[in-house]
Amino acid sequence: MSKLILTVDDSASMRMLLKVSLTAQGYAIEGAEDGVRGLERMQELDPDLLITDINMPHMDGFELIEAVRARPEFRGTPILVLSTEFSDEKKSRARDAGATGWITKPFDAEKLGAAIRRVCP
Amino acid sequence: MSEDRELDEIQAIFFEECVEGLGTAEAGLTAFANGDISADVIAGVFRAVHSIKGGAGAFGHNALLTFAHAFENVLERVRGGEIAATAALGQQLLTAFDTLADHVAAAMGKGDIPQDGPALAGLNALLEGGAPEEASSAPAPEPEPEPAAPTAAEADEMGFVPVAVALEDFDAPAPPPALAGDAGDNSREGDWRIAFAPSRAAMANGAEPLLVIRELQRMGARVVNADLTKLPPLRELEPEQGYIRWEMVLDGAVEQQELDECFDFVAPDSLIEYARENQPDSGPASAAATPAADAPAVLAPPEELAAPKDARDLAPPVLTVVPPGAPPAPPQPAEAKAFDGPSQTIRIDVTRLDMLLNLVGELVIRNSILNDRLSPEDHERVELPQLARLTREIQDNVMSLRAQPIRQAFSRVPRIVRELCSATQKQVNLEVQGEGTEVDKSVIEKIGEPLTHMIRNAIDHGLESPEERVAAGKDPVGTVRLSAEQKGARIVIRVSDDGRGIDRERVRRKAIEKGIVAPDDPLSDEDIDNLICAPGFSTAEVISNISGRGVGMDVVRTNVEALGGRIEISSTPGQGTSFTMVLPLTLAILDGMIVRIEGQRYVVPLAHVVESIRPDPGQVKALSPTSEVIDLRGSYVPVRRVSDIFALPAQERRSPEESLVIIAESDLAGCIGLMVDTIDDRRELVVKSLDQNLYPINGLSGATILGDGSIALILDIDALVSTANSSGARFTLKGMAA
Repeated sequence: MSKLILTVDDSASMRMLLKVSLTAQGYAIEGAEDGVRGLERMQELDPDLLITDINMPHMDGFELIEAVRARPEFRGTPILVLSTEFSDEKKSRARDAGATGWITKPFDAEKLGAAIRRVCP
Repeated sequence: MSEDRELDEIQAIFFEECVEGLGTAEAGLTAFANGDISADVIAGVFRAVHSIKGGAGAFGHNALLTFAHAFENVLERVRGGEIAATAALGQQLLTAFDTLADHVAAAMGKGDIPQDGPALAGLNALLEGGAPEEASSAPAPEPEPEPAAPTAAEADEMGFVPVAVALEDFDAPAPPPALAGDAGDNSREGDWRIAFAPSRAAMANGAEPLLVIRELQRMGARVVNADLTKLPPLRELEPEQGYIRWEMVLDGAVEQQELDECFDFVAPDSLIEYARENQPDSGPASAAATPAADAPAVLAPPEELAAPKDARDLAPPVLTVVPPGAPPAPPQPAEAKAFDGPSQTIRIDVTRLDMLLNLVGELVIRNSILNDRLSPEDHERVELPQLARLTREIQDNVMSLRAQPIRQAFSRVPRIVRELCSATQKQVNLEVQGEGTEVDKSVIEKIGEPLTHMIRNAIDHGLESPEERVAAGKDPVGTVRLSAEQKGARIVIRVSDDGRGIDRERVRRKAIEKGIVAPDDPLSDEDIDNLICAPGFSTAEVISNISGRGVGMDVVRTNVEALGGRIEISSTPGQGTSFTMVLPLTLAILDGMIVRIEGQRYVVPLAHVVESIRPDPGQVKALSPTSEVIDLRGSYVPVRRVSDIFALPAQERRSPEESLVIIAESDLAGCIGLMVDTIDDRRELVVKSLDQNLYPINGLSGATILGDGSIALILDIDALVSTANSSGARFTLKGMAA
């Protein structure tokens, strides 16, 4: 059974790019277009890993991470942030919210795979 | 190869997002420039530019990336209140926006990469001027995250590594600073010695230190020691805490950066030490691997490394050290609120919508067949009215799926106006109304060009220069109004200006000169105004760069008419001109009059019908055996018998008094009277195209299926009128419709 990753990003092209890159590495990918939908999909799918953008409408990445972590069943689910932002302040906010790691866009597929292996067995 | 194609497809979607993003950004910035400076507006613009930047990086559009990045930085500071949000700034950002739009166009292959030097310098000037806190704490304020993202484009990194390290690694392939000193010995690096003690919080946030160890092992690391001294008795052991200190050895060929990345997600208070051993020159092993000579040593215990402000940083402590002198991270907005973005959407291929629309059309037809064939009692028994209502609702809903706000077509206008203002030195205030009016997608796609031309025409020809306006007692700033509204099944788009109006004497002279009208033709004011749209007419003495281009208003008219619409012009000298496009809301549904001729049924599009007449004896006069005219309150309109046009086998020639004459008007060529036997009905019809099955037939524009299942052909009034007029005298009945 391949690992299931939920990617949350408001850009459809970014979701597709992630899907193409990660499907090629043997992951099963599902997507959601904002935090609200992302949280719904988390509950539906219970994925092995959540990868989320920060700047999104309705519910941003920070809020999504907090909402996911607030649920006991997702306490141990690794969460990676994938964002074009890279300020230390944002990263530490993400960590406070409960993110496992931070990846900066644009991403390289191979390194993204390595990063995933470091958080998702 | 298929992956390439896949990427191309994704890129195509990215471009769509760019276009949407640009629309959002422009609308926001325009509001901004007009003084509507709310947090939501700024956040919306920021997010739009941010997304463009993200995709630009992913697809390697570096020029776009660099520019979007600078733009985003400015917006971020505006959002954070560090740069004062004023209307003037909005204006400045709009100018920068135009360059951004050009960059997007270049990325899409529609034009060259713009010369963005001045625009970029303007943005950077805003950045420098707008961060006073930084300026005071660091003498040479360096826009903090500036170079990282742009340079990241072609590199293959993900930027896990905090900026300070990443930049040196990616920008210059030179050896890391710490190793520069012993460059001679670089050929053979010492092996890495690694110590790793996951902290108590090691497994917080879903992290798993074991995976880091596995990753290191995958890179070739061997565990040489596991220090278990801190391991508590089983009873006291907390399964989610780290107690073991691991020591590993790793081949020296591995780059430090790879190691850095490995530890990137490790909880910040874990102990992480790594250094090369056996370095000939550098004495203690620890010093060699220090990322920067003047930064705290890598091997220092984490407590010493974590500067207070970085204490909770995501990156491991050894890497978060900010080189001395570097500016602190800029203050961030207190709270990034949830953005009010557009509603959730999915993308559907338009061809699939069309297919759905077509099927719903069939459903409507089946419905009316049932309606015709069932007795009234059966209607009630099978609840036909309910089914009909449901069908109608489905139809409306499917239609609305294709409908989009005309805003998309209007969004280009502000830019055109800005460009024209600077090219003509005129001052223009653009007022837009009704941009939420929804129109079928096919219509939106096709009105862009006519609209652009009408706007250009209004500013270039319609409005006077500020001096002339002042001399005429007007506000030096001209006004151009753009509006859209729905009227029944039509959409009315109007471009009006408060300029000088049409110089009718000049237009008339020109038309005579060009042989479009004869010198003695009696022409009403309206006729003269309409000459502007006549083929081959252009009043600009010198074809101007702006509205000229050798394309006249006649092309606009042709385009609009191809959409089944028409153009109306009205002008008041000294007060302005307005051009009105009247277009069908959709090209798939038609309001039609069903007529019967020799037992066959035809549809006359209702939009063309002026009136229908039961002729009095003698009102229809035969000019020759094949041509007749009807006397309509003193003017004569040619009459065609539909049975003649399509050579229907007629038993006997009906007298006009037994027939009906439908007066239909074409914007192209005037009026015609169509002689038919009876009028059956008036209803909305689903248009079926004929061209999939038949060659184009002059005089027919399509077909529809009636309630009884039979087919009725739709008459093409424009074609019929021109055929009628080409053989006989030319009639115009302007104003008759009113």
